[in-house]
Amino acid sequence: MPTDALRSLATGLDPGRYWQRGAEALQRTPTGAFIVRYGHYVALPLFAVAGGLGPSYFGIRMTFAILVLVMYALLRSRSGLFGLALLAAMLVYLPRQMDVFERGIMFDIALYALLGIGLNVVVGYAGLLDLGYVAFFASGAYLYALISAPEAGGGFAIGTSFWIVLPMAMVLAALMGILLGLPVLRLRGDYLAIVTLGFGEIIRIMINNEDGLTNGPIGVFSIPKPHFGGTELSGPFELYFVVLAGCFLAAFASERIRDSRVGRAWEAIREDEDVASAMGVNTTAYKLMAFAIGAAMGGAGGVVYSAKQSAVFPSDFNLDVSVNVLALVIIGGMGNVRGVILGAMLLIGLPEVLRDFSIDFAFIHLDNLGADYRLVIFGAALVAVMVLRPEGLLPSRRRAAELERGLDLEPTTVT
Amino acid sequence: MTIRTRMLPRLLLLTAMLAAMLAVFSACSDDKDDKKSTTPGATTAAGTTPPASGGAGTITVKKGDPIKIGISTTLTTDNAQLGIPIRDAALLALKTKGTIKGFSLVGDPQDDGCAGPASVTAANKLISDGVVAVMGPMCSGGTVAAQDPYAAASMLVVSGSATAVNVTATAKKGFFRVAWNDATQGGEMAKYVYTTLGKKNAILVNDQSVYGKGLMDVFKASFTALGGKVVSEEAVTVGEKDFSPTVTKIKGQTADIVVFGGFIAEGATLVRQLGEAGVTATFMGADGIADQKYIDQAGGKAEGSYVSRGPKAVDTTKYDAFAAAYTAEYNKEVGQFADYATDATNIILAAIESVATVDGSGNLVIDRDELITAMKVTDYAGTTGQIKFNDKGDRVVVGAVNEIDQVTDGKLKRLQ
Amino acid sequence: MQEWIQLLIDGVTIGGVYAVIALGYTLVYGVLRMINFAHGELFMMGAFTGYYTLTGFENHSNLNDSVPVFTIAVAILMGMVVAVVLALLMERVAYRPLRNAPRLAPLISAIGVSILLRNIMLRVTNAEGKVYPQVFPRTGVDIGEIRLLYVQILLLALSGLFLALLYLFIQRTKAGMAIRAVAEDRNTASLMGINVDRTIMTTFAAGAALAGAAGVVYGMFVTTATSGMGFIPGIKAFTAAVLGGIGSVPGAMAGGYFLGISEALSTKFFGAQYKDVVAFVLLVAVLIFRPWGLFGKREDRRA
Repeated sequence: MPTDALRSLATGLDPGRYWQRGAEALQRTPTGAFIVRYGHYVALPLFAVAGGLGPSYFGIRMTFAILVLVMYALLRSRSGLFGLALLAAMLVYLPRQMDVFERGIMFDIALYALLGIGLNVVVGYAGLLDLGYVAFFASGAYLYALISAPEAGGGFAIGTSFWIVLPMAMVLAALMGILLGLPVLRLRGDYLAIVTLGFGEIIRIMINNEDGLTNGPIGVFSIPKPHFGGTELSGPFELYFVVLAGCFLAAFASERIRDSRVGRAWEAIREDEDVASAMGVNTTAYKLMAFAIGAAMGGAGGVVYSAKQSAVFPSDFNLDVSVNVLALVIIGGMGNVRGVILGAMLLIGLPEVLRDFSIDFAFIHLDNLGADYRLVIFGAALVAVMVLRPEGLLPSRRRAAELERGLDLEPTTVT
Repeated sequence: MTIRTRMLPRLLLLTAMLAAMLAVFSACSDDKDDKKSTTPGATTAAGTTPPASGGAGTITVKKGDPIKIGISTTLTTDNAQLGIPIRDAALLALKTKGTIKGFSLVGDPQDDGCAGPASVTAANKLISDGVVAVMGPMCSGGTVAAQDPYAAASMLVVSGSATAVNVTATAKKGFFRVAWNDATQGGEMAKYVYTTLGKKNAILVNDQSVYGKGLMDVFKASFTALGGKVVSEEAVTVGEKDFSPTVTKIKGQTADIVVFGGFIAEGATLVRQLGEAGVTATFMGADGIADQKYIDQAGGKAEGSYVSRGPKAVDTTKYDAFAAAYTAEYNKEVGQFADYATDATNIILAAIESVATVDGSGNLVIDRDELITAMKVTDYAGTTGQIKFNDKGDRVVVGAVNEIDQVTDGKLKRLQ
Repeated sequence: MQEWIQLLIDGVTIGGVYAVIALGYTLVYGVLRMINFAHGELFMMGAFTGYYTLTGFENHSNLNDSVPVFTIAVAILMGMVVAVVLALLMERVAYRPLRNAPRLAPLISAIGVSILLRNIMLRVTNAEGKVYPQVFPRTGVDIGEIRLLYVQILLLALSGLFLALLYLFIQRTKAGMAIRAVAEDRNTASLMGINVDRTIMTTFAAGAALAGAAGVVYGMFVTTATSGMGFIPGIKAFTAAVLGGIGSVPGAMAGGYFLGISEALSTKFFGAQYKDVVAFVLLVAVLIFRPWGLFGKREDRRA
């Protein structure tokens, strides 16, 4: 009896439950439902204006706090086209109100969102755990760097335009994706994870040591900026729009593919590869396709990264990048592009926004809390988010339904 | 009913769009950056200004506000072992200086992660924080990557630890370094090894970093030009702590000296394991390991090894005074690059003092271009010797010799 | 010839460390089907505990006269205790709530724990490497050109001992049998009257004890403890566990030694910068022919 009481107390203490219950209760009343459904449309312009003024409050940059909150509301609601249009408007409008630091973060978020959308194809749709996604990112970045930078090592700096390298990099990355995919076709789950991790490391080590071709650890620098209709896209702010456009294209493409025959084949492979194969799904071809499509998006991200940084080093492409991209896909909610975008905001935005975090309340004065402890806070936040929302912030609807049903089933009993 | 609920979002969307457009127009019409009281040339919403075309803008520090100095250094990962003393030295320099024309000084330390992406983020942060100048970044790779955003903002940047050759391969507006170019130091090291120590066969070990690999490349070129022979080139991986196979490989070769390009943790491990394996060849490292921690972590095996520290003044009065002040403030030994960091901060403060003017309403006005011009003509006697810059922002050797230390009785002892 | 033997010894030394850490991965994977990414950090915490214990003893010099067996034993024990407590805490806070969650959720939670621990230790130590007091004469036995350090002998012996003890624990004790049963089929095990929660905690504790002990001994070998020191051995041990067949105890041991030796030999052949490339290529080669690892069980239907 006391253990039961304890258990119910323990479950009662779970704030995630209250969160959900509260939201449900709110939605049951007509006014509440109205607020939940449409509240953010009203709130958005207000927030946007407030965000533009950018007052510092609790030491955290408000623009970001608001952006994340509004994005959450927007992405969470099933608001369809209007929501997306508003989102687009906001993503274009808000950065104009930001300063150089916030714009830099916006670029990083958008870039990682693009990478996340690519990895989501591999992990979320096809269910292939890939811990070496950085390899494709690196290949794109180095392709642009080596082809366009005047001081590159390989001696084949031909000064090709950004817009020509972009598709080239996508093709190269896709080929690499297939190259990686071929030997690992038979592997599953965590075996796949470690082999892809190794692939990512091999690419980085090769770049680091093939001095003659890549300049080695010294890196490639003076990488030119792209031009668009005669104007140079010189800073993160201009390139942000390039990535943003890339994100929308990639999101659109990946959702279309998901809903196509290919997407259904991936889903079948994800759920049960043997059954899929028995039903006549060509698992080899579809798995390779997932690797190739995901990789191509990573390659495109690499090209933009290279152009924005204007200097790339092998150390930019370490395991952390793969882990970050995977984490944002899972935190956002696997298989859902909106979730990926939200995951990128949290995972990439949070550690940077926390730089300013400080507490100045009553007798507590912790000035450099953010500067020193931001990664500690970040680590704790990762755990908290996962424990409170194990399926991610915005799970794909189908996945959520599966989870709901699957709760009573023991996952390991599938033999 | 259904029609109304469908119309509502549309109406709201329309309102939102209108509000957004209004905000955009109002943002364009007046300068919204006034909250930072600075107008960095390239960050207006309308687009960027090419950095070369002047018009960098001025910084106005309001009466009663402090002058903010950016500190870009590494505060996370094991590299923070180097980064924290740099931050502390810079903060101490600000504290010692106290005020400039009645305005107090405050440091703004940002973590640059010793890597390209994080250094760029730190740069953007410091620019948006409205700092007057930046001491840093810490690592060469990060410096190369962050030079563009800094130059676009006409920021005065002085690094005390970015030593790689390519940092100043092209002159960047506003960039200077107090740290020695590896080209200077690598050549001096080779000369010392070949001529003074009389070692002709060397094994080179680098840590696969921009700094370590770059320095060893310069060393190799100078050493072979002198007539020395590089027996083999080995590498170690940063973060690993057992280099036994590499040590065994070195043991199997004949060489007079093992030269290492890299930082404390790897250098200490390497010299210790070489000693434990019974390798008798001399060991030499560069400024990346010039620290008491190198000796402590090597467990007695660093004894007799050589450390090159770059050209330094023969007179060490200033350095000793700084080391004493640092120890008094933080209750620990002065860390490597901390002396460079204090010099970098001090010349920044001197330059600010020389160009800053107090206007009619009591605000401090600093012109960014004038600040950079003032830095170009710096001639300052610092703890690391006389500081003068060439056109590219590299330090010129003035009345100094390349300092070589030998570890004697568990301390670094200066030989030349 | 002697150089080759020396290289083999180098490889077996570090391989033993990988093997001991890999056991933790493999045990946890066996019962929970999750990769405990924070396992390398338990190793790091063990190394720090060892440092603090040994420096504590340093002031009582009568305790470590010539052969400080007692001091070392206490340090290892302390390392184990701290790692076990942390692991149980970790399991309770970060992993247990996720037991029925999608299978990648605990992975991210573990990454969070790893970042958290690493950065806490970074702040605690102010990023400075902690240097172990010298409890061992840093010399060794010379056989011709081959040199075997005393601390290396200790490391070799202890890693072998830990492996043997764990093997006995899994195979011969009741708790070990429960672990095997839960790994086989959690539901059936629970129906057979096995307390699954307690068994999972035992598994975490066993893995953590090994990692903590390995941390102390490795700390004595490499003489410094830093906050980032768990990362690379963690990844290597993970590789070793997969190589041997994740979930298999003898596999993790074999994988660890295999990886250590391959690293040492490829340093000689290709240079240290390529040793990870060689290791991963070997891994792929093994997995192409045996997709379930060297000693793993064929699990065709398990994604």
